Amino acid sequence: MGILQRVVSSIINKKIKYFLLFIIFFLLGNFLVIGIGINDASKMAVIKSREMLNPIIIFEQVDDSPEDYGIYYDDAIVEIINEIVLDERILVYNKITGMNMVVQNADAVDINVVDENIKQIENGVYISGNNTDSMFEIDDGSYEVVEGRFYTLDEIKNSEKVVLITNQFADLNNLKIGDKLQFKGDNHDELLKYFEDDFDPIIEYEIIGIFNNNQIIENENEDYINYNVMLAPAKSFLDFEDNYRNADLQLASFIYGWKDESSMVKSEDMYDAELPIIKLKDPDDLASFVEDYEEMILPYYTMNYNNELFENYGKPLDIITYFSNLILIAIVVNMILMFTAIIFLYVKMRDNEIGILLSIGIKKIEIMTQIFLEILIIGFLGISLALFSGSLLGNKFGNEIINISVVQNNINEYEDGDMFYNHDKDYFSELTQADVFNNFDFNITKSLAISIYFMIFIIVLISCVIPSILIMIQDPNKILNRKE
Amino acid sequence: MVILKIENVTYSYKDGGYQRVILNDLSYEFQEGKFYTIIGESGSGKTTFLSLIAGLEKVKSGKIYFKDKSLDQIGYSNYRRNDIALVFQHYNLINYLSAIQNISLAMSKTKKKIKKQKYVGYALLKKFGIGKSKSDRSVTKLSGGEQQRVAIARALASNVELILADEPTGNLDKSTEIEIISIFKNLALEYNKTIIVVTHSSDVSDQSDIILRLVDGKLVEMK
Ligand SMILES: Nc1ncnc2c1ncn2[C@@H]1O[C@H](COP(=O)(O)OP(=O)(O)OP(=O)(O)O)[C@@H](O)[C@H]1O
Ligand SMILES: [Mg+2]
Repeated sequence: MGILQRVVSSIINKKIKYFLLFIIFFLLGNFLVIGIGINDASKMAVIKSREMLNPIIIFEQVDDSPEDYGIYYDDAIVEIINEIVLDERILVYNKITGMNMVVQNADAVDINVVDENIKQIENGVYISGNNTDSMFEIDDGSYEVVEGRFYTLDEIKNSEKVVLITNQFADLNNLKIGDKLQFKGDNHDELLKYFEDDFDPIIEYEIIGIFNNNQIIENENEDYINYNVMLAPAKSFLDFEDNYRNADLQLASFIYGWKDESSMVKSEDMYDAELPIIKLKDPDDLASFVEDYEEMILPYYTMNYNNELFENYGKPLDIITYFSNLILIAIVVNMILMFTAIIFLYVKMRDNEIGILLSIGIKKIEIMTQIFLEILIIGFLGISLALFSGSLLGNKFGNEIINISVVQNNINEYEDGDMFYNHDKDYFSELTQADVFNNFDFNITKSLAISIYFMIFIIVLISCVIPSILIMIQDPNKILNRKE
Repeated sequence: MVILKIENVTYSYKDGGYQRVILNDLSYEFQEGKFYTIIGESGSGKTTFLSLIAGLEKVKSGKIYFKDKSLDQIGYSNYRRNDIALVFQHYNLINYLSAIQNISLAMSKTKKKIKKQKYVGYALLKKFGIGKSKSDRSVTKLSGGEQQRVAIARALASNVELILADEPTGNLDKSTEIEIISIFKNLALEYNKTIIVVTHSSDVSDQSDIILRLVDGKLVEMK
């Protein structure tokens, strides 16, 4: 006859004793479920809030950094930053440079300009370039490629002249993938006046993608920018841009008598020294990422990942996590002590049975397994009921706890008007204490339930250790002298 | 043929400050297929002797051989599982199992696998006067005599050659005692089992092939 059959018969036979044990499992189980639930809810709230808080890192100049624009002259730092952006943990980064141009062989989208003072340059477009095969706007869906594709790393490396246009621009001009667009600088006509026919740089791009610009337009006057924006590899137009800047400089030297042409920094060098805004794949990597690199750039820059804001708002959750951890440990230790005592008693009461089983040659390990399984089944039944009641209680409890955990927060909000306001901070998402608390959601998920069952398994297993010793040292001889 | 050989076994309990010798350089050879009874005064060490030959306790001095192999060689738990069966005064059935379950538990433990366990179990119980409905009952709902019959059936079910019993009729009335004894007698005769029964009852010992008296820590053959 199998051990399971014996286990079931034994449980049925000891109905009352096992019912008491069931009640104990149930009662303590409620604490366990609530403890684990609250612990998990606060951990999840931290994670969810972190996620709300885009895992974005910006570079900030150190107030007393060695030189004001030190980075321009420190190739080592430029190199380090260019290394940093290759880190595996990065989802996407923006290192945007842009240029106003005039499209030659197509029309720009014309929008009613409400403000009379604003004049749209005829066929003026804006090319925005990044140095990786995506950008924040693509990642967050504000630019949505509907046809064709985004440019690739290879195309970036070779500075290939490929471009994505908006669907409004495409519709207006009947353009499709593979068509070519030609551009000039937006000050081309002015420069031409001075250089006469000598100056005529044109750049030609191939259309590789069409995208929807879903960006929320705050100012109607800027509509035309939104429809006339184009995306291309950053370095594809930097030389072209230099042509115009050189011409401008020549013009300046011509007009003002400037001679020092060597002072002009190449667009590409300037671009290299730009600071990227980095978005990581996993918010959990933020701290370690910053730790890995901040040292290297420290004389000039620090990395800001909105940690102050988070640490402040997240503090109540940390406190809850801390205390629920303590309480959980206390519950588990108590359960183990209590069940050790109970199982010890049970084994003691079953001396006679154990003796009989031993006398017919059943191995001690099998007897231990039987008792373990009996307790485990009762434990699982008790905890199953506790999962229901614990969830209900926990829902009530959880909200109470979060309400009493509110602490005064003294965050220095950054003001837009601040003279030294770093606009890179606009990429940080906003987060309020209410957001953080709304993320606190007591919920016994399936995987949480499984881990609770697993904990009961471990608790019962540990609780069986000492009683097992009792079985191990049991002398089968006693059975002969025992009176019932 | 010798089935069980006791060789110079001495056994003593620590009693207060000194050792009290219960079995004193005891040697004896049990023959196969015989029905033995062991008698002796209360406290003479009969149960102690039985627990030693049942492998419930290890001998400290001397040796016990089951068919030429010492119990140490066989392994005590193996010996209990495969070579002997015990019947106690207090029946000692697993009380949360039915009669048939008690039997099949014993069957499933032996090395010699028994096919159609349940069928054999019911047949055995029937042979000892326990019908189908009683067989399926929890053993706590059987009378003392019935429980002892189940215990004997269990001993037989485990398909061993040596059956040991400590006052198996101690709790039973005279007529039931006679029935149980005839069962033991039969086991030796019909199934060639070796039976060793410790008893206070002369009705029991009178039925046995050989009567041994435990006196001064030694076994003395009376008949
Ligand atoms: N565990 C023990 N520790 C110390 N002394 C013991 C122990 N078990 C038994 N004894 C003693 O050993 C002696 C023999 O006991 P045993 O149970 O073998 O006697 P018995 O012949 O079976 O007696 P009875 O006929 O009353 O059952 C007794 O004096 C008993 O008190
Ligand atoms: Mg005795």
